[in-house]
Amino acid sequence: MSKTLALIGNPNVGKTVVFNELTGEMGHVANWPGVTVEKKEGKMDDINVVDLPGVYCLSPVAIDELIARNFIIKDNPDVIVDILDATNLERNLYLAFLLKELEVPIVFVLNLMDAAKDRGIKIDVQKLSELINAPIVPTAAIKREGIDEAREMIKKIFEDKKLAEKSTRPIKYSKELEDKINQTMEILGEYTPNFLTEKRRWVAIKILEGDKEVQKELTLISNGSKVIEKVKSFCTGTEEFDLAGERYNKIGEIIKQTYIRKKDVVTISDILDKVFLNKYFGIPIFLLIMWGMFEFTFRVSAPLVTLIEYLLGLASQGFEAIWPEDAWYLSFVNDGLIGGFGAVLGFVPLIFMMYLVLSFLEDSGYLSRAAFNMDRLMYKLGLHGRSFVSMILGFGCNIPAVMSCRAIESEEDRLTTILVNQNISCGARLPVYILLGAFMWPGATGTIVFSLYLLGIIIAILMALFFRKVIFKGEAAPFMLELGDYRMPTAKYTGIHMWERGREFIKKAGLIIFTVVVVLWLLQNLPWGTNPENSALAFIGKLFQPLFAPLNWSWIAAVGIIFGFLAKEVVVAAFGLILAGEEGPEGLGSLVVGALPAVGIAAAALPALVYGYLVFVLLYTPCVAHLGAVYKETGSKKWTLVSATYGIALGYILALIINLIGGVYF
Amino acid sequence: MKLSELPFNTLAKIISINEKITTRIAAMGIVPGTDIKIIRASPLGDPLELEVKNYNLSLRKSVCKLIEVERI
Repeated sequence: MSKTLALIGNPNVGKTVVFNELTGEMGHVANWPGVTVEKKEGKMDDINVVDLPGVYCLSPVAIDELIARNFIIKDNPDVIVDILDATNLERNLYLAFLLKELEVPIVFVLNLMDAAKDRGIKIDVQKLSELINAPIVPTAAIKREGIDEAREMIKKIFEDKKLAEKSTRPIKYSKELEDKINQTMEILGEYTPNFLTEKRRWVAIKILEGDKEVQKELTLISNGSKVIEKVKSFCTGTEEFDLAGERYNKIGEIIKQTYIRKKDVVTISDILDKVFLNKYFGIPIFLLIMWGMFEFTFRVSAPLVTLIEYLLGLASQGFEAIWPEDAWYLSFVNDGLIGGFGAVLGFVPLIFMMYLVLSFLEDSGYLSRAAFNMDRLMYKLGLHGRSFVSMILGFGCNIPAVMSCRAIESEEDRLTTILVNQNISCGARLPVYILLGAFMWPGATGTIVFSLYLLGIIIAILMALFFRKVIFKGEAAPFMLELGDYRMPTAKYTGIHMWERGREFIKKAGLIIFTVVVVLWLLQNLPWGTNPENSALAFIGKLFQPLFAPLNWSWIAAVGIIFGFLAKEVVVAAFGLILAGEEGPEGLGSLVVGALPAVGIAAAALPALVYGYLVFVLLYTPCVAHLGAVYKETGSKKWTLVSATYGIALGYILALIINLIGGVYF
Repeated sequence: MKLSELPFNTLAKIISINEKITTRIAAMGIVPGTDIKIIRASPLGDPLELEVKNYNLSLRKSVCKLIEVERI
């Protein structure tokens, strides 16, 4: 029999840190079956450690809470480890009480003891342990304090049956409630003796609370409905309130006996919040931080990108020197492989730097302040404060932006935020704007590029209103956001968080961009020895060109769009391959603009045609990896299809309108 | 009075909560009998930052309207 331990706790209690320190690894990440919430597993010696989602309670309403509680009820972990925040013990004990009701062997880790000390908080751990009938280990996980003791205690509870049994003893509530619980347990024993027998007290409490999920499961077994009926006969309907109130009563009594907090300690967090949440400065500072994030991301990654390009250039020259000039493999390695790798590697520093900043902001506690500052604006669009952060991320890359929506609790808010993000113009689209814009509007390139970014934002807002008012109707979920203490992120954990996010990008996007560039190279050169006009690539372009004929596009324009569907990074590369062979960056713009219109289109229609083309590039699917991310995060083929089709349709319609207006007025 | 009408930095006690929002808000410490205080509003006026059970929580005004409090 393998041993299993479930790690649980409120959000922001340092659960990741405790997980890493206990298991000594970053953990193996997968998704929970059927949903897109991440499941992290690791090993502490011979014990399987499963990291459950960070939750405040175990209601059946929110998906992560349901996952956590189903794991405890159905997968029967041998031991639960609940991590408590010592600076915020009272509220953290609420989840502890809910877990105690499950009557599973439990160990509490009282984390953030260092922060508690700074706040002048003293906790009588011994007494606390006696009052809640379970072992408690104080830790400061980030400083590795108490970790060995926590490991010892966990091992001990696996071996010491008496200790384990003791920790499952329930905390007794008021006589009135206990009577009701006992009465319900008797009814359960009589009518449904086999239903979750070991967790009968918990089932009884859930029936009294009117828990939808437990009621549903009861009605599926014989006599289950009878139990619910019988219990209803002696209930007043206020049991849910009564139980919540009673838990806090008990917690209050415990706190009184074990917890001393010096009054009037002005913390650094309080001072920082006076600045970051200030009525006048809060939003300007937020915008400044976001701007700084872009500046940092681009500036720090720029030399790395240059270095990578330089090294690849050296490699390419090396191959030229040793291989014959007309060898197919030289062209394959230099144009295909190195060209492809260059495109992939060029984006890696950018993505990692953005994640570094984001992880820093999140770990420090600032991101929840950003959500607090921007919530009103987003609420007007039917969204959540956190949606704003995801939109900002979209300017870098839409894939992490879509992934960042996980932090949004309400399903409707989350889906809307995911579906509108594609309109935020990502970094990969910029080279296309610049290439065409710089030639077409030499004096006003910046204005043209800005107008495209602005259009993207406007479309995102309109689509958000559309989705929220027409498709995902209904009340927005109550916005509950904990504004926890600011913490100084450590290099180690900021690094780990950056890596956990970044590796997704490397795996998915890297492989796709790389493959596309290789395929492009092949198509361009097949049948072997052909000229660009007769290549397989031209054949594909000409096949699709009629679709774009109403937009006055040539087959070359079509090729750009088709391969841009796979990744925007390859649009410019595709033009380069077809038109120049040797892509001189100066001349390419004029060549491309010259090649975009279909045969017989008047020169006067050109500006509208090019602008329409750029609008299409802005609005249709950012890349196939983006669709993959949408699928992964929504878990639905339908919404993935919606994401793809509305983007293409909007792009096509707007490009058509721009062409028509351009044809009339210019 | 409603929590949304409570002046800033004034201590109050929670009297009752609309049952529409009970389960999850209880987990955040919003239960009858608890002391509560509004610290500030977001720069745009909504949501509000509250102090309850020795920690800081942000709720929208629309939710605060569903919470009945009494000044102490």
